[in-house]
Amino acid sequence: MTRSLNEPRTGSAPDEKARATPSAQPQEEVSAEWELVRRAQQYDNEAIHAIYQTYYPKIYNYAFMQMGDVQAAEDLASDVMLKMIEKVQTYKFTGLPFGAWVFRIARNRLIDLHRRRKRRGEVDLSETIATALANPQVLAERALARGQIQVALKHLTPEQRQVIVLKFIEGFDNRSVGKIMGRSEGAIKSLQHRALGSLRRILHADDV
Amino acid sequence: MFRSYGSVLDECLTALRSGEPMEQIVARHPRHAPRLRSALALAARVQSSPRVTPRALAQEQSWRLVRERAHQLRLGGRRVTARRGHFGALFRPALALVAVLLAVSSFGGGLAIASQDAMPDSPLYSIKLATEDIGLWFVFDETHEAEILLDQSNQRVDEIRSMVSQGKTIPENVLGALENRNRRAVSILQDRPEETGLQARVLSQAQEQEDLLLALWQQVSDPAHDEFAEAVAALHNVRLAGSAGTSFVAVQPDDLRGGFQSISGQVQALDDGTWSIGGVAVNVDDRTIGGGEIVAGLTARVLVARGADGRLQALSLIGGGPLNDSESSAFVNGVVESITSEGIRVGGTLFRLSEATLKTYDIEPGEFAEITVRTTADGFVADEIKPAVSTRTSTELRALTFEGTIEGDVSGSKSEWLIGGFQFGVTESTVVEAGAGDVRDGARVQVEAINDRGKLEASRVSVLASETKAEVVTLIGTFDGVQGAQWVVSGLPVVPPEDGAEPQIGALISVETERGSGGDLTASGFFEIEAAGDNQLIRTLGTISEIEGGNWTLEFGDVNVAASAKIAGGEPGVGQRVVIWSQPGVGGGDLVAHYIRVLDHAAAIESFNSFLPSPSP
Repeated sequence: MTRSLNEPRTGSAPDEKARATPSAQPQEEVSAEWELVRRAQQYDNEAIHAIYQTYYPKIYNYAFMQMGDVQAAEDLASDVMLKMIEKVQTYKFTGLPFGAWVFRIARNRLIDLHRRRKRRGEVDLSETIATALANPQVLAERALARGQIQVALKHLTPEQRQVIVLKFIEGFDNRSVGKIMGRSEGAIKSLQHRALGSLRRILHADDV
Repeated sequence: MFRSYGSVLDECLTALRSGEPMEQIVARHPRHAPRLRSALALAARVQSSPRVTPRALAQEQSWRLVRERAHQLRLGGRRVTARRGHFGALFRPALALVAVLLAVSSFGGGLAIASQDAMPDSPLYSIKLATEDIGLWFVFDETHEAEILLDQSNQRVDEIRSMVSQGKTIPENVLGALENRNRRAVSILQDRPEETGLQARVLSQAQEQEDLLLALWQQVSDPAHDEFAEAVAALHNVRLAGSAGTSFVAVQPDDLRGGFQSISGQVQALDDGTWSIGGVAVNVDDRTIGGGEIVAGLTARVLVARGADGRLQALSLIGGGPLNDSESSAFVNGVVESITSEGIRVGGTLFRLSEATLKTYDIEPGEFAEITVRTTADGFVADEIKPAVSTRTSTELRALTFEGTIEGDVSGSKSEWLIGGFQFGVTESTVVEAGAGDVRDGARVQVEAINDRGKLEASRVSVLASETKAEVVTLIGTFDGVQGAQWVVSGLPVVPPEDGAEPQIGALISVETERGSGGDLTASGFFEIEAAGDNQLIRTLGTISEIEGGNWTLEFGDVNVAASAKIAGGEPGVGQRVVIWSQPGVGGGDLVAHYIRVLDHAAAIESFNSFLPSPSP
């Protein structure tokens, strides 16, 4: 069976059920984004560029928060963008923002990268730096005060760090965060509770 | 009903994100108030922390890969090579092995070897590029890899030069490969500031390649214009990064899609933050590379790119004072007498060739050519040789020189200018010389043009410092004969003069005319520059550096100006720009002038060729 480039293999407009699904994005934004994605599925250069301009900086920020390494974050963001364009025709609207799908790719690539680094016995440079410093609480407090949230986040577990970035920096709702991280909404609520608690303890929360 | 703290916190975080004041949220849950206040304050602080932004260059490089991949997918295509960082290095040995197996099994060793001399228009060219890539997988020292990539980039330039010298257009594959090699080399070197030698090479190579590509804009095939704009933008951005570091405003390919133009003239500041250069609105900003400062009231020369939206962006600037002779070029048009490795001979004068001489066609003796000439201590050097349309050649293309007054708007975005009652197409290759005054409504200009079956295309527009009346139009071209009651000069109709004199058909003439209310050009007289049947005169455009009696010195040598030579357009003087139709001297002696047109007093000399790379010493 042949398929025209003008006919996306998958994907349909957001239906009523999907529209009723709670999302962090206003409905107009979801519709506009869907239209953009639909055009990207036909490899419309302008649409791809618009998506790229939106998500490359977000994925870079996400990757940098997780790894603390400019070069690695650039590589990962570039890799995710390539993967996104290769897979965009398989994207199907399920009521979640397109961003959740893109971040899901990013998270999977991040896990792959960590596995490979572990197999090769590589040491995470940013962890080394963080643990080498005598007083992480003071460091984290100072970093947060200067807006260097990534340094403060180094003292959280990887999952806590992800939930903080996805929920509070990227602004995803629990359902989207759950989809990205492969966890239930309940688990995300619990994770965010623990993540904020850990961060508060690091920062002498009583003074926050 | 009992609710866990986690559930309450989640509800409160949602309310906080929707903009509800914190105290109002906390007031709904007095039991958890202290913990909630602390957690919400922390969440708000994290939310307001600044984002980490990516480097512009890295983002731009990554976008090229994505766009390339999208292009391939659109065509149902192959994979793109990802930018090698942490991932690429990991797989390199395995990929090298696969590549070798592919080279041996699929291509066959002979095919790979045979492809080494393939040019971009050969089916083997893609194998040549693939073989180069395979070779690089065995290079484990990335600095050495960058060096090889820069060599390969220069090979692409040689291929481009070779293509244009054979009169072929530049296809997209070689431009894509050039951009690819440069991008990969820059990507490696941007993290190696200690490699100062290679960093300097990248910058000088980028400048040479950008200058060359801009000079070849007319030779780019139509489907390759996007690749061309991307290759030039990338080269320009490398140069910007070299001078400004990682924080700079990059030129986008869209800024270059409309082509390039050279403009010189007086500078004026405009209200919208742009500059008027010779009457043309140009944006001069951080994206402009230049060896001078732009100052209102002085002269500047800019190479501008026309964006997809029609706006003109200056890429290069020479400004801050009067342009001197060393920055000028002269042009010689004539029949080629000989062309050897030593040089090209036109009008009895030898113009030396150098490695950097740009030949945009494989010119043969007997053909008509335009040579851009530069004077060096060793003699005259041909910077560029290209085919030209002879005023005398009897083809559908008729060359002519036209002097008239601009009528109406000729702002930067206009592609047709009304001059002396005729519409002239102004394209990206039209050189605008506005040293003597602004290009504007009412300005007197000389236009070198081609009459292509009734359509006039301007190749050069020079503003004249002339007090001539707007109705007066001077036309220099071939007398084609009489049609009805009218003369036809290089395809344009002219009402004959009342004295009844008539030139020979085929003669090269200068006709002074006056435009009537109906737009008709009525000749008041004519001067025969060259008789019919002869085709020996060469046309030169240059600046007078010395006048000693009847001997004038210009960039391309001495010209003998006898009393019989006709001088028109003004009184000649040192520093003036003149167009001279002359005959080669006997036995290789000085040129003998027949007809001279004085252009202006404030010499402002322009051409793309001023931006060509300098020949090797």
